[in-house]
Parts: sequence; structure tokens; C-alpha cells
Amino acid sequence: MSEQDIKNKNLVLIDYLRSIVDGYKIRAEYSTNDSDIQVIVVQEASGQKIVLWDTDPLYNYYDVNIYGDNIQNAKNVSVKIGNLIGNNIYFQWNDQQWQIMIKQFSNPRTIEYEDIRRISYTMTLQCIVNRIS
Amino acid sequence: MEWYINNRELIKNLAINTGTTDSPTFTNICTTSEIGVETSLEEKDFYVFCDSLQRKVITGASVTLTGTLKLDVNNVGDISFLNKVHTLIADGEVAQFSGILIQFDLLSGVNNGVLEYTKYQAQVSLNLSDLGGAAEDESEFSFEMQLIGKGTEIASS
Repeated sequence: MSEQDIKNKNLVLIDYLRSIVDGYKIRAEYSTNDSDIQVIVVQEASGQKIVLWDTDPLYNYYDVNIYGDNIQNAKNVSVKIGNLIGNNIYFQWNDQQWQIMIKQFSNPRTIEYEDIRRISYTMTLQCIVNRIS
Repeated sequence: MEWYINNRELIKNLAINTGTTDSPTFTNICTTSEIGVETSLEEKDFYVFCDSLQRKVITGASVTLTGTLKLDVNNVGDISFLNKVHTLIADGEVAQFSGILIQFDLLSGVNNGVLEYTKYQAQVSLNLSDLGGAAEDESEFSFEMQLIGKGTEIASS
């Protein structure tokens, strides 16, 4: 896996989530501007990696924060993403084939309002995001 | 580049015969997470004259499938496990645990981006343990299926 592939891991996961979640902007950063109400932010988080011979360290950990103005919507999206656990997803990304293996995650839980108009859920996914071809 | 698989992609569609011996019907059983394949080798140790370093010769092997079954009472395959226990308790018979026909797909490789499997049928002897499970919400039990003799390759897909 090249340096560029490693950089692309986050983008691949974001694009996959975009393909299954409607109604939310999905991006790597959160901004507090008013047009960013229905937003899912996917950012790499810390976690233990496993190192195998001659491969890149396995497992990436991603914090998935779901912001919205409706707690039921945010909860439903968090459940949908949480149910991906145990799946080995094959995902065509541009002309590349990737796999996203979601091993375990911390259950969705509400977090405090980022500001007065937002409600949010958060979870951490343990993933193998790996380019196959 | 690497292509990793998860534990559900190594062995798939583990099914037990819920029909008769003459016309088997295979019902997929409801296993949690992984199914393991274990080879247990029988070895003989020996030494040769003039040195004391151990040698081994493998004289045989047993192949066992292990897993955990999540009891789904709507699944006739799952219920057939319980029926065998009933027969053991009520009649004191053990024959129902031996020579059970099972079917499973074992990963054999990848071709043009598609995982390939070989489907096998084999006779096994069945061991159950921890019927019920430890936790309130489990209703799980672990099983060991030890192959009796060779399996039969049914198809590749």
C-alpha cells in the first residue's frame, strides 16, 4: 500500500458512508457555520494497531460524530452505521477496489450540544481499510 | 497488495442434514461469529543412533470444525441438535451423535476479484458443550464436529 493509499483511507471510508447514508454531509472536519447542521464527521482516532510482517499496521480507528437538529434522525443514523460491525465490505473507489472490514465499535452515545442548535451522537469504529487492487 | 478476509468468509454455509440419510436436506445452522478448522496431528517421536535430537513422523490427523451455535428455535437445523440431546436423555442412545452428514463451503482462493469456495460434504461426530451458556441472554452452545474419514467435494463456486 503506497503512501497515497494510506492517506486515502479516511476518504474511502467517508465515500462509503456517503453511499449508504442520505441527508447528511459527510466530511473529515466539522465547522460551526450554520449550513453545517446535518453533518457526519469521520476522523482518525487513537487505538492499538497490529503489526504483521511486510504489511502496513492493521486497524484504523475512526471517530464518527453525527450532528443534527433531530435526535431521532441522528440516533437512526448511528444505529445504521453501528450495524456495519462484522461486515467485510468491498467498495469500488474510482478505479480502485477497497475493502472495509469493521471489527468492533464503541456503541453510539449522545454527546453534549456542540452549540445550541445541534444534537450529536458519537462512536468509534475499529476498521481495516485496505486497498485490494 | 493484501486482501484480508474475515472469519465468516473462511467457512460459509455450515449446514446439517435435517432430512434422511437417503435424501439429505441441508439446513444452515445459526452460528455466531467464527467457525474454526482444527487439524490435530498424531505424531510419533523417535531418535536415531548417535544423537539425541528428537525426530517426529506424522502418522495421522483429525480434522475438527468448532464453533458456537446461537439457538434459533425457528431453525430446524438448530433444533435437531436439541433433539439429539433428547434422545440421549430419554433413550440413552448415542448413535445420533455419530455419522451426521454436514455440508460447508471452504475458501479455496480468489479469481478475478471474487472469492472462490469448495463445497464439501462430510460425516462427523458431534460434541456439544455448555448447552444454555453462562449469560442470561446467551442460549448459545459450542460444538465440535470431528470429521469421520474423508469428505466429498460437491462443487466449486
